Amino acid sequence: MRHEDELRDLYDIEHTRLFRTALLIVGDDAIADDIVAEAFARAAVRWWRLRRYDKPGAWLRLVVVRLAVRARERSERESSRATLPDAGHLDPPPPDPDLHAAIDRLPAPQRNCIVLHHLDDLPIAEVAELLRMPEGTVRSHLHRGRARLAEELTPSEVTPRAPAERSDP
Amino acid sequence: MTDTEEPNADVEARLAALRSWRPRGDRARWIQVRRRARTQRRRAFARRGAVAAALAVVVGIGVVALGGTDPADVRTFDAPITTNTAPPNTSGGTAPPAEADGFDEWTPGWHDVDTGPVPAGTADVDWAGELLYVAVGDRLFVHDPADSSWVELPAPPTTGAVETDIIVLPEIGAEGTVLALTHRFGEPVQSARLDLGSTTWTEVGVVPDGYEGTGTPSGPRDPNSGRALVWTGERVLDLTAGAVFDPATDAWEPLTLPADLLAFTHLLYSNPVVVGGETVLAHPHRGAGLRWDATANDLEEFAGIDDALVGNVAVDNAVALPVDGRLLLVSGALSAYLDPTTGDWEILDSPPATRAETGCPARAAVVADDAIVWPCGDVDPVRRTDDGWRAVPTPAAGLDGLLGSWTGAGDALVVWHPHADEPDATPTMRVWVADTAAEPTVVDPVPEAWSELDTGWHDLTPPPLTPRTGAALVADDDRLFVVGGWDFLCPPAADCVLPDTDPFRDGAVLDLASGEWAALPDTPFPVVPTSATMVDGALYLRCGSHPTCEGAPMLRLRRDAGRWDELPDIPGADTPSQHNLVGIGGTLYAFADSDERGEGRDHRFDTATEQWVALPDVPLPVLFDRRVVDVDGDPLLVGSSSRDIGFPAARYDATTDSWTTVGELTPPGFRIARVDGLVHREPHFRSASGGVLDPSTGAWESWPSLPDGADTQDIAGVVGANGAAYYWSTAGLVWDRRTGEYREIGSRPSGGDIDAVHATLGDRLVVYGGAVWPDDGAAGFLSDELWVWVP
Repeated sequence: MRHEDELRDLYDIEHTRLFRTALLIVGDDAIADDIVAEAFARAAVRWWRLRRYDKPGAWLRLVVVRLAVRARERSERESSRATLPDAGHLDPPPPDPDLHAAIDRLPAPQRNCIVLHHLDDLPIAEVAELLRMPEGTVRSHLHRGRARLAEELTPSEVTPRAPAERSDP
Repeated sequence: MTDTEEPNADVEARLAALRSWRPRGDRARWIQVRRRARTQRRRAFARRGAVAAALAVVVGIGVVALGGTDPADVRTFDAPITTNTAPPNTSGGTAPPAEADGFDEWTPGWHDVDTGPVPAGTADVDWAGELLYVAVGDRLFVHDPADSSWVELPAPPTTGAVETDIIVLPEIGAEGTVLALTHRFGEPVQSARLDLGSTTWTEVGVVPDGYEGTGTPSGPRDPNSGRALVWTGERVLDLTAGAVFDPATDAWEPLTLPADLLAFTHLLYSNPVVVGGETVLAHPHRGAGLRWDATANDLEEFAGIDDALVGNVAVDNAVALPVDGRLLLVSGALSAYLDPTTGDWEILDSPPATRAETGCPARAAVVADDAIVWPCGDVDPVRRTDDGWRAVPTPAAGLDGLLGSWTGAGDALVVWHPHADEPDATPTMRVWVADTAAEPTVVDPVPEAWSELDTGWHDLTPPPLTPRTGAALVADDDRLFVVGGWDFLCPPAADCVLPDTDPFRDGAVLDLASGEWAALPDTPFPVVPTSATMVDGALYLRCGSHPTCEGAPMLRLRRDAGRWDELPDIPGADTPSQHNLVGIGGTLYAFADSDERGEGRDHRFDTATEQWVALPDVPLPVLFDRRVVDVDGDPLLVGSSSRDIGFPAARYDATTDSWTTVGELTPPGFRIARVDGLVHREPHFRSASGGVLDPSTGAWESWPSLPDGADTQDIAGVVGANGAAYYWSTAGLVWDRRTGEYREIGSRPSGGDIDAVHATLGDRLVVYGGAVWPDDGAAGFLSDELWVWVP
């Protein structure tokens, strides 16, 4: 199979998963689309090397996560991003918009850990490696993140919280 | 899955529901992926596209030299070049080559360059806009390699400086800006910027000391050139001072340094690099790295490049270079690539003959898109390519000739030795110009060895050229050539106006044994070849109908030659597309495509006199679609006649300079090809039967009928036991003589059949370039892909 076909096959297989990961981290579908395209473009340039990897999709996830984390940091710093853009136009729309919004309001480390562990189904060790933090720190962010989500999603709460402050370094 | 904590049950259930959500992003962005990747691949060749802009800078400097605001402040010097290997330019003299930029016209190899008016002394060197800037003491000079001239620019306002560091900011000001940092004993470092358009200096203040109070006296110094300055495209970082300069405001401010600065002391032995949009400071021994956060003006830890320490990092100097989106870091025997996107390290094999010693002042620069590295000591310099290290010749002065600051200057390396400690000495400037033609640069590994490809389509490493249509694609036994063409993109079945842009002059050659592409010399003028062939290792081509071809449309590139020969045009070739070039029996022939504009216009090229010689008239009626094939070293010609008469083929005997007719009546058909000793006249199945000629008997056999159900007018080619011939670049049926059956080639997997060019190489069909028009109605784009079909 020619190289571009190989990468195209990987694109077909991985696109949705990577897009969702980027979307949940960065909170903007246009930026998420751009991040996934950028990751595949970088992969295309290196494909002669990446194709020999056992899991080239893991390389793509690494790039997507790091681009998304950086993009979110940048957007929060530069535009004082306050609210999650309307996700109703997504196809399909998120099944639980409140949860979607609550995840977006989490501090960045908690959000990133929740997305990668609970939604992308990655083991804690892999999340720790992706986010370059000790496993114990990942567990701590997961614990705090779930607690914060539980607090936000209690039935009594109908008013969205103020946007999260910039995440802890 | 769960972790060891006890999650809120409701939250976990809702997360589980969200886990099955599959939002569809914009999958149509695959086109964007391809284009971005193409752009990144072509980055190495972007320099060619920037020639015009660079010319503007050169012209701008020329104006300054002749008529700047204060002529007394700007002086020019003639400085002829001396060389230890070859003349300084291909014209053999010191006159400025026409339209040259930088070191474009310099012959490959080492050159000793007269440093003209530049005095000895601590120097700083920078390369920008195809010009070399040299600061010595409190003076500033510019060298233009295109005409070997030196210009002295007005001195920075801080007089009496013992040392000046410079960095050129090409994007600032109409013609660029030079930022100069000047040192006087016992005083703070002063800075000023020079507008290269007006040649006026503006003082921009004292460089702040960002390290004050940190316990660290200063930051890293670049082992190549001294002060660790880096231009991000928006601001200048001075990591030696720990300060940032913003040319938009002419203001300096101190960097915010990491609180635990002592954790990064190993980085004092490396230099900052801008790569992949990041400004990074790293060390090949893989201690923690630093990145500059432009928004916060923080120099912060670059998490992800903090792998475990290897060895004692505090004693080895390192050199960092941006190469193909990654950092190449070299320190003594250790070298590594660092991908700033992922933090991935790739430890490389040691450069050949490198001594594993410490404290070596390594030198490195990017030249012709590759890193040239001199690890240190008594070992030769080496060049890093994708497939490993390659030797770089040492200058005639020996390894001592490599001492000094190194500056990458496009396809050249500039080594400047200031001889600062020798009062009566003059600076030494040595230039090594890479031989991009003779030393092929590996752009990508071929997927498999050429000889080991399986049946079917394979994409090969494309030539290092921009996408195009209409190039010449020609092969001989061991090489495949691509020359010229243009960026003409016309939708299928549309009538299009020819593009305003000139066709291309560049080309490349693939060594089939190694899979390596090398650049060819540019043609003397832009070419869209209409015919090309190989004769005795030389490539001949005839330019097409484009206006740039007028006057001298015949070109020849001899094997290993550094330039194209312009040859006399074919006599009687009044319209450029009317002759086909063929190489037969070691002779170049030009056969008219049709007799309809007059007979007797076939010629052979006499290489002794470099003139065309007319062939005798062919003893056949007036023909069109005249086609010629090699039959045992003689041209055999067949054609079609509009008159309802029968006629044979004709064979030319070069020894007697005469034609004889061959065989019976020629069956109607179109193109011809010789496979397994037989001449195959391609049928048009709906209007012409085609046939197979045995030249030894003159007998024509009928062409085998199409298989049941097949509905095609033309077949794609013939495959035999000892080779093949292909008539078209597109999909279709191939007659396989080995099995006596037709086979379907099938479409090239990437499409791009429009205006692609093809060649037969052994038994393989090679197809290059063309245009791709997606089925979904998206905009078409040019292809640079190279495909091979193996029968």
